Amino acid sequence: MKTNYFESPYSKLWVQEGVLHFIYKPIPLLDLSIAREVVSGRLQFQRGISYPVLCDTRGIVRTAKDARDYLAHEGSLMARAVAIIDDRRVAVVMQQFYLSKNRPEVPTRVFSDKAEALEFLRDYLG
Amino acid sequence: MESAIDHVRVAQILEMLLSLSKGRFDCRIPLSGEDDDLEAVVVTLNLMAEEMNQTLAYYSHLRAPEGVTESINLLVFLDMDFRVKSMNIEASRLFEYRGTEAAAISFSQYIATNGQQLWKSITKSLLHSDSYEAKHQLPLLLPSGLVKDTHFTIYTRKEYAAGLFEIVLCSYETKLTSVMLEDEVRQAAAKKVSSPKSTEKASPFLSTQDLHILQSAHDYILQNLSSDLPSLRELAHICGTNENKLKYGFKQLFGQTIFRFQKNERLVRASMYLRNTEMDIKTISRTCGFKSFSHFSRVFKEKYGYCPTQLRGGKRMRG
Repeated sequence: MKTNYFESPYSKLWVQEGVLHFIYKPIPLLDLSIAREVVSGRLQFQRGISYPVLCDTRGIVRTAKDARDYLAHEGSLMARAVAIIDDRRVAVVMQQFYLSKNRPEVPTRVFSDKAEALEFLRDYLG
Repeated sequence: MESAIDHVRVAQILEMLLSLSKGRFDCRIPLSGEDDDLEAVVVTLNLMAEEMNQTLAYYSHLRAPEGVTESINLLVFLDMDFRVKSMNIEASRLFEYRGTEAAAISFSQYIATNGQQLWKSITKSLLHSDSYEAKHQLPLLLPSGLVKDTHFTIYTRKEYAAGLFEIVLCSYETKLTSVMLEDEVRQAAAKKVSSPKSTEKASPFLSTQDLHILQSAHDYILQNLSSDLPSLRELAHICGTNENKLKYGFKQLFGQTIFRFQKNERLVRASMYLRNTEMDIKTISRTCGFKSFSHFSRVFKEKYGYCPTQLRGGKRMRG
């Protein structure tokens, strides 16, 4: 069951079966100010509770370097694990580049299949 | 038809590789919007160029901290119809502009597709403002088909008495003086003369292996912000180096000591929690690794100029 559905200009988020679902809306260029707003909105939504996070990045077209660097640091705050969902060839390459350069502070993996992503997050349910 | 498109994209990739091999890391290949292997190569090349651009600038700072110079590189003059009147030699070279065209070229021709909308809004402001001056990042379209993101200061120059109306676009770039051996030698000699009192240990140039080790120390600290740091000797052991190299190398690479870096990162994180969560302040202080609340409050005020309680009271963002 979905609980606490919340929508911001850049994302939709809700909690379902203990997993925080975070969906990026279409964003032509994810820059630093948007990245800050997105993280801030997520933290406010979580109200101090850590979740395994299912992060659907298919709406992002391009990212600015400073936004990537910021998300590498602050993007996984209050997340127990992150499963990124993206089935675009280009995005998978970008995510792999991002993950190889920045070592996220919580277990993070990229999936093209939502069921597999949820399976991965199951180990991190509270 | 598809192979013809691919041919153009492969040509752009080759152009980019050539550009990289010449030490130019500020160009990017425009994205085609396709989602295929070729686009994956393009995206990776662009990301790599961005990283190299930053890393090489960083090396330059490491090797010659006082030797980085900034100079105006592109200077373009437009008439009030946004056509090119003239440009400096470097800009002419970049755009392959000869200045002999019968009809003046509209500057919009030098702007990449993803910058056209921004340029349109700038031109609108230029027309409606008597004294316009603003900074913008414009993606320039180079004759090679590559795109170069450039920060411009754009302003209008209006001298009514002289009947002079024009628009000036000006950008600057950081020059990597470390590539010039003579400069480096000269700066080292000058430093010796000008700062004989410096007692700091001379930092040897860091090897690739050192950089990896120091990066792992950096990551270790970030991943363990809530706990105490082990002693320098232990941390060096964890990262596979010695205490001396860790201590001086870290400062050289990241510009601050290990303990100051840890404190700053703890404060940044605490500020993030304060602004965006409902966690009570004492829990935040503990979560971010501070032993006592009063210590947290004091160092927080030192860094941000206000106490954590003030941030909660007056500056919290909308929930």
